[in-house]
Amino acid sequence: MAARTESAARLPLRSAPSVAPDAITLLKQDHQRIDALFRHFEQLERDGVEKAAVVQMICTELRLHTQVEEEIFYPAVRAATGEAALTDEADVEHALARALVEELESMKPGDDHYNAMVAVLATYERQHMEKEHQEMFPRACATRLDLERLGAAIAVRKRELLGQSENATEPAPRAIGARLLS
Amino acid sequence: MATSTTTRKPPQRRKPAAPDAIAILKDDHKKVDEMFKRFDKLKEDGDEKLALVQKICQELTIHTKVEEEIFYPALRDAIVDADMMDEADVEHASAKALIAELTQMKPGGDHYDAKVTVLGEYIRHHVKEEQQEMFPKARSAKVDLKALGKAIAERKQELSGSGGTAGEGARRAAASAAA
Repeated sequence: MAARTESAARLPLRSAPSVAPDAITLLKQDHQRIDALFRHFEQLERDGVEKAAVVQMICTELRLHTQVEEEIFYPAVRAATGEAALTDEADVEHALARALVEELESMKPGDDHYNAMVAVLATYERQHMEKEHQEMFPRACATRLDLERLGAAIAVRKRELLGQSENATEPAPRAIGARLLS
Repeated sequence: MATSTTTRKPPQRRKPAAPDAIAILKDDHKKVDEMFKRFDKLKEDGDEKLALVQKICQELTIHTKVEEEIFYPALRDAIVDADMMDEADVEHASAKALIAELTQMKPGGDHYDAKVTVLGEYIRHHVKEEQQEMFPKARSAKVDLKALGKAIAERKQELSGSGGTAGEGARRAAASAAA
């Protein structure tokens, strides 16, 4: 630890490798972004393009986030803790969230139960994130899990998936959303 | 502070009042909550767990049905807060998806315990919203909770009586076995 800090300090600043965020930092950043999007949604009153764009972004973020958790983070946590209950529950919560995401992706603002689906999705997601923060992340930290390497793997996979989804889907709503939120 | 107890009339025997809609629904909530608590304590994957989860699913199926058929429509007519009612519908749909999966499974199946646990958490959240928000709104609105209670009680009886032919047979067998 000390050696690394020293050698990093000796390097000129511009070529210093930026410290890659560990897995938990990355996932918490996702949570913050998703929560901010839900809060943005909650402030919107009109059913229009802005609402459609925000919901589209929520759906994209959740798809990416749940996929990297299921592919990379949960299996690692399951192996390291030797305990399946927490990650199993997380899987079930993901499946229910994904069902809502799929329905929302085939709908538009103003449709029957549209706002309610987003509201319930927000509630479920916040509950799910809270459980991860309170139970799963502390347990993962208490193991010998290499969270930095997992973080790197998650970052690479997210970039890959993001590239795929941007090629595969119509980018317009995402672009609108990005403009509105920037 | 002296009270004249001598003039007090003996308490009259009254017919117990039929429970109103909210009392019935709250009673269901309590019953289901107790079953989820019992589930949390069960360690083994066996017949007891299977029977308990089947009972939870059956109770919830009947409960969500009478709410959707009788209680929610009456509230929608009387209460302005359509968003709240819509959210209750969506929460029911998620619960029903889990119930449908669980009724096809048995203890020891992949993610079985996790599904029951998550169902329990979602139901508790839903119940909290109903009891803290929806029921008070129903009370202050002009909803005839007594008439609704009667309709709910009748429908519940009907549904638990005709809960599938296999269920009926099993119930009869259980009843005669217990007698």
